[in-house]
Amino acid sequence: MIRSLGADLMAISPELPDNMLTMAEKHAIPIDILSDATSEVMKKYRLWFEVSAEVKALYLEKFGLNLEKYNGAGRWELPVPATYILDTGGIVRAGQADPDYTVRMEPAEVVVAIRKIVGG
Amino acid sequence: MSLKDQIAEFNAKRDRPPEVMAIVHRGNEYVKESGASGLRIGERAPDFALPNQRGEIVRLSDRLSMGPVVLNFYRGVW
Repeated sequence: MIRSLGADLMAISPELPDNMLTMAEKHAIPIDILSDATSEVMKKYRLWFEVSAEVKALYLEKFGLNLEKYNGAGRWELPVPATYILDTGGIVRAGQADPDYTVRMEPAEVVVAIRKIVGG
Repeated sequence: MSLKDQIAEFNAKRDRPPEVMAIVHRGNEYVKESGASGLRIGERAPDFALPNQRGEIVRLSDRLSMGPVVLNFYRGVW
């Protein structure tokens, strides 16, 4: 839907490229999955944070989740989950960022925002 | 069904204990207080060049020259 309106879709995470996907997935997924391995882009977009000591302990002890396995040594770093719709001038025309990862922008709202840009 | 409703359904099934949810909630507040609030509507998105899943460098400005871009920041595949 997003692509049929002429928009490009890209996803960015702090994960190291090798940990993200299997070889088959790498070639099957039609969108760009980008690796911000130095956290530079997350910082530029003011989305970067370091996981608190309490949450780190929860992930390690209760969820068996070691972020270093995905992000690299010492990188307990994440982005605030966010979605931005950019027009061709790079201006943010719609978007949402919320530390509560269960609050996401509705796909229908994304489509509405693209339609406004392309006039469709 | 909206994404919001799907997430609500998922959360209800997952049924995390209150002490776990309290830690998650405090973690979210900690991030808010850190000032990581993202870009504002009307602001120009900073350009970048990052490798994609096939090792190709993707530059935002190149893509913008072809059309609008939906940019999603996510925490990881876990």
